[in-house]
Amino acid sequence: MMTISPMLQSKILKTKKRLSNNTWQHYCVFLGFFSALLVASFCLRISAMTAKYEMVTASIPIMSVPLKFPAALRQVGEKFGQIDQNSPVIVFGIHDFVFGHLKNFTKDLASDTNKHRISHEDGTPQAANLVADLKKWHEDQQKLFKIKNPGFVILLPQDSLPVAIILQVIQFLKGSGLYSKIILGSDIF
Amino acid sequence: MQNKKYWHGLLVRTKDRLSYEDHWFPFPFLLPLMLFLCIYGQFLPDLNPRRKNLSHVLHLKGDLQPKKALWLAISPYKNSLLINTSDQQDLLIPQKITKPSDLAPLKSYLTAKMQQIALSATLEKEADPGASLIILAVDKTLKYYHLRPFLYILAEVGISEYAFETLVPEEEENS
Repeated sequence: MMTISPMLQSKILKTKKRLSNNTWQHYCVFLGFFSALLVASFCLRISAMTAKYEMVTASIPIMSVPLKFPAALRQVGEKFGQIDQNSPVIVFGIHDFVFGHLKNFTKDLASDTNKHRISHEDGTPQAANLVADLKKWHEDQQKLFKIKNPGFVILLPQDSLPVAIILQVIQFLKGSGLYSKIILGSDIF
Repeated sequence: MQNKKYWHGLLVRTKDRLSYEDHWFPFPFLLPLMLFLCIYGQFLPDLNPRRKNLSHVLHLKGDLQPKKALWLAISPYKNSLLINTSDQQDLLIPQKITKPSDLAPLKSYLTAKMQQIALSATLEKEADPGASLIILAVDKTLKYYHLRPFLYILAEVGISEYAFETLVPEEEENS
């Protein structure tokens, strides 16, 4: 009969004693706690993370003022364009779009022949038709009067229009490639 | 006498327990550490800046937002407009503006912000063009006449570039 060495016997006794202690319960408790923390961290990320947002840009024109301060002359901003009487204007009304040059809405406001009108269909603004007509209009202006598209447009929406629709029209105009800057205005109604 | 026996037994058992290596001992220290990491890691650096935002913006794909920009949320609240700012300030403005003093809280907030931007640009000797861009998260139920006074205030304060926040639709986000 094989005898077990005293060292091995003591090891077996110690292992039995260790396993008879309920320390394995601690492992389960802590493992469970860490799993709960992992789940909680995912839940906390829901409150910390935000959805994806983007933006629709617009501009406010700046008036240039000659500065006498010499240090400021070292930093001159790039001029994108200049608003003059030939700058394009789009009036966004409840029933239609009306577009023309700035002088047609100031000096020649009463005249009907110098403005172009695109009616909304069933209350829906026809932005695609507007862009197509604008493209043709700019080409005609360039050919006939040498008036180039300045790359910006002044948009005058009616006050009662929802902001959401105005933003969609702005994004459509920018996406068409005709204009890179939109200037929002008001007070024509 | 019984008490003495109990304590003696407890002492012997503790001595016995401590006489061999026990592998679970770091866990009591790890518990508060994990809790701290979990809460600090989630809340302090990356708290959702729009958690107090009541405005429901338009779902539209637009241009990417710069990292550094002023942000204002404008939403209707009873008979006023509630403005939430990016540094968690709330301003109340009447929906119908009848006098310039109605917009005074917003004007003073924006003026202070512009001065802060100018000061930091002067100290850093570097101007970030996106820092003076202001993003307006306008609720889609608002009309243009609600928005007009804000544009005047932006012009008065000296902000020339502004943008309207849009929420990227889910199908665009996934594509």
